[in-house]
Amino acid sequence: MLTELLQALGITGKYLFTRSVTVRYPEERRESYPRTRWRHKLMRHEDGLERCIGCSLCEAACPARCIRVVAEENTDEARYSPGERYAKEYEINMIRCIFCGLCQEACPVEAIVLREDFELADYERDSFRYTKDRLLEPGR
Amino acid sequence: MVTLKIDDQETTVAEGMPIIEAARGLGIEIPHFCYHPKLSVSGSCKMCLVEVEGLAKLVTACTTVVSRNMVVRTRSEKVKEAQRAVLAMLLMNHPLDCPVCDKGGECPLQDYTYRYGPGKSEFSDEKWHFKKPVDLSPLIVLDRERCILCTRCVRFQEEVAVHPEIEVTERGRGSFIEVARPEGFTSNFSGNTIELCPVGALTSRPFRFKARPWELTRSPSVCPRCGCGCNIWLDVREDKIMRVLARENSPVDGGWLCDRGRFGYRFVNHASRLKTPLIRKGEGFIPCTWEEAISRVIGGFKKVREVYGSESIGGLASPKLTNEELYLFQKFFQEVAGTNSSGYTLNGDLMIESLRPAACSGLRRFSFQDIDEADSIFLIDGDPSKDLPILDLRIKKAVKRGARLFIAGSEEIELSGFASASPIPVGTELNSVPEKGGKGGFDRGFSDEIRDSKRSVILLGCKIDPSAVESLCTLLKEFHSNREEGWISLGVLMPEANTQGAQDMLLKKGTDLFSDIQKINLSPFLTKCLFVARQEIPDIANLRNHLDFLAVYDIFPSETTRVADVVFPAVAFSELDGTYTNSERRVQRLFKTTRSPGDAKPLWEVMTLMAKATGTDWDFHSSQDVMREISEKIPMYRYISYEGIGMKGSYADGTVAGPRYYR
Repeated sequence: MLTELLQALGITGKYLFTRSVTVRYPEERRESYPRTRWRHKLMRHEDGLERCIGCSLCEAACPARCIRVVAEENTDEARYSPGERYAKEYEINMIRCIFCGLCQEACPVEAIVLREDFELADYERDSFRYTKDRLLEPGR
Repeated sequence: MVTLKIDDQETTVAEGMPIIEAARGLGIEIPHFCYHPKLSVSGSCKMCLVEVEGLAKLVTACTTVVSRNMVVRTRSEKVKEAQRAVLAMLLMNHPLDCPVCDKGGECPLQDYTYRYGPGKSEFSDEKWHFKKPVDLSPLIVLDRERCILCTRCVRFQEEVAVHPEIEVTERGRGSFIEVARPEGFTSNFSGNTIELCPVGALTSRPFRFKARPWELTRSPSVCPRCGCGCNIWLDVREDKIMRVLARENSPVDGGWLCDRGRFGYRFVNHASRLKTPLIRKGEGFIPCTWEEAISRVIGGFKKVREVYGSESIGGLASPKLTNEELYLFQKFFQEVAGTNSSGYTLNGDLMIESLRPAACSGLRRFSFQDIDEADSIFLIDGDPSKDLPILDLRIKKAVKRGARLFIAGSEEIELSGFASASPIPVGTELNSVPEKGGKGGFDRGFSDEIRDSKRSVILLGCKIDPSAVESLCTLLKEFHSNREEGWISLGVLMPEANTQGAQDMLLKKGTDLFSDIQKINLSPFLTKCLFVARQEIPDIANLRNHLDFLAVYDIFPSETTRVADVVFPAVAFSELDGTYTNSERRVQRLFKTTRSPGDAKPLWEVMTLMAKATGTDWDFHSSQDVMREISEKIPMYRYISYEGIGMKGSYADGTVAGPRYYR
């Protein structure tokens, strides 16, 4: 009886002094991998024009049906993307999103991408409808 | 009849049928671009190549006619290789536009490439470039790079619309479609080229980039713009109509739509539509509830009735309303208000007497297909190109087939160019003789022509003198009874969507009421309070001074609503269930597809609420309930029921026009 008790205590003791695997979030953070799929971003070209051409292929590919795209025509005065068409409205419902990355795969111009920002918690349900201004990469 | 084998399946078809149609009858798809059953055969795209046993080379299925004991293979190795090659050639210069092209998702080129095409491209050079997009017209956008030169659009404009306004220019790789004349591409049927185009070369400017095909919900309806009643599909996204497509109902519209119907839907979603009932307060209006508005109207009616009597209450309805709305409209005014002064108007013009069956019994019941079979067509004081454009196409097709067209009218109309004799003045057609110097130099009057033609169709414009119609009918019945074979068919060109329905719902023609209104400068005016539904009254400001009370039911604010006491918001054609009766007395169903903005109600519901406010309880909870009473009370509609109408409409005498199925 005593031997088993001492053996068990020995195991506990051993683990008492080994390093724990706990990541002390938020002071410490896990290592992030290059192709990790979290918060979406609408990217731009080098010259500042938006990549998104409003084709809705991401909307069609999305299994959770959480993307909404309304397209519009580029004019010479108001040009947002190269080519004829751009997304006037672009909305992703982050609660419905399952972060599968199929939209990223479907996009023909690499406009919609999933990047590493996963700290997305918020208070209201409505604030999870990310509109284009929250998704578009800044810079132009 | 010819028996042949396609892909080891035997079939027997009519002589003269091309292989591609015989295959379609068996359910075998042969991919094609330039072929279209309603256009002449081009045989240029070479997509429909098939192998016929005994012939060394592949043949195009659209040009090759079936022959006895022919053996056709559509999926042999030779055919598959040819299909891959043809698609590779087409895609060689075709731009990589699928993500931005409006046709993507419903594109035959995409679909055939997926099913029959090569897996990858072997073309590494520069594609041919054009300036794009090009506006062929304010409605049609052309992308020359996408065009595969199937010439369906050119052939349609030339053969069906007979407005040869576009053409193929240049040769070889650099060919493109161009507008052929300086006046531009103004054809009233230009929108059909969008549906014909197998790629995204011709697209709709109003629909450009609005939605992808897979985002749209498709719903059937009937076009509300004229008395043809062409069947349409409404494509809806997020409760707004994005576009209108043709829903083929060949006996009515031949599968085509005119531009008015195709592009005339944007009023439905317009921001300035009336949303709530309004009550006058001083110079303006305040929004209110339906109960308040209705009690105000009933109050106004009652006050006028006390002072001036029942006949001083008047109602004016527009032929844009559905049968159910019109029926309850007249029921309210005749039974509840107790007045005879209710009627429908057509922009203030006189309407001809209703062609009740008694007047033309013994004649063949008129249907648009009579034009397809007639030997002679008589057009009396009407202009189908303006009023019923799709009939215009039918008449042109008949004339090309060999029918003779005679026109009576004072103005030069588009169809004058197709007539077999020069036009004669209206009113004299039965006896007078067309000028000798005119085309063909006929020296016979219309009556002679009618008597000697085996099959005649007479089309009357709606502005014709009512008394002339009676005498015409008598004469026609006399001719008709004296012949052994053939027939005479008499139809009226009803300009608005439901003019025939308005006549049938026991409304008297608007002449009594309107001539009353026109008398305002001369003698004491009878009508003192008026309810106007979906109609704008010319010179309303003047009229308003003579009215004690005016209530208006409409979709947009107008001059008429500005001077009203109470304004009701109306529903548009896609927001209610109902029926329209077209010019051949075919009753067709409208389906509720979108929600009205705000709190609009259909007129039949408004009339029920108004009757309830006077203490009369009607038991109508849906437009189908109203149709049940219509079929009981109006003898001409006794066989009409929503279950029976189906998707193709049914004639008022109960003959069902098509299969009784619902989507």
